[in-house]
Amino acid sequence: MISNLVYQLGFASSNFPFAASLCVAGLALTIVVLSMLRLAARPLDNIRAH
Amino acid sequence: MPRSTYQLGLGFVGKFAVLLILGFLLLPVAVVTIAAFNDRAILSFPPQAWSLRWFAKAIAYQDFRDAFRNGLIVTAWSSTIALLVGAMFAFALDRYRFRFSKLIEAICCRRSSFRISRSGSASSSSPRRSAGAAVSRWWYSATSCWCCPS
Repeated sequence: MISNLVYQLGFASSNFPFAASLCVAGLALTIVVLSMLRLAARPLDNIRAH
Repeated sequence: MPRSTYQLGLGFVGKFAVLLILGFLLLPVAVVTIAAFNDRAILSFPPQAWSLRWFAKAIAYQDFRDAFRNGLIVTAWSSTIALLVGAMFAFALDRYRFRFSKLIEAICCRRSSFRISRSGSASSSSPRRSAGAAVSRWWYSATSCWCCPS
């Protein structure tokens, strides 16, 4: 999906800065989503193994 | 106990090898990140002028939005299915004995060789810390940043 888009933009269209910005934006958005999920799952820290 | 010259040299070579591998892995990330701030469409490294216009264009790009949304949907479904299947398999592995269950437990859990505490320190059953314990301790501390609760 995003990787195909990056490949098309970077190597087929030769617009490397735009492809690089897609990479960085995708990485940043993924980190944001993971951080939000971790915050949402924080109450699960109290669960202990029995 | 003072370390010998051989041990010191081995430690230096090990650190150098780790730095080399990290550089090999992180250099493309650095190059792509710097290239993303390039002002022009034609790649020049280092950039002549810095700009955020490619990021504005990327956020407004409909194909990127669709691809990211599809990625989130696929990730959510695959994580949910993997969690359910993994939990069921862990339950069966813990409660029942079947063929190759010990082998699977040894490969997946490594419970017989060492345990990892919540603080990330591994305690080996042998007095000397094994390389597997060190790797697992590193892996636990690396993945606990984003994935596991601290």
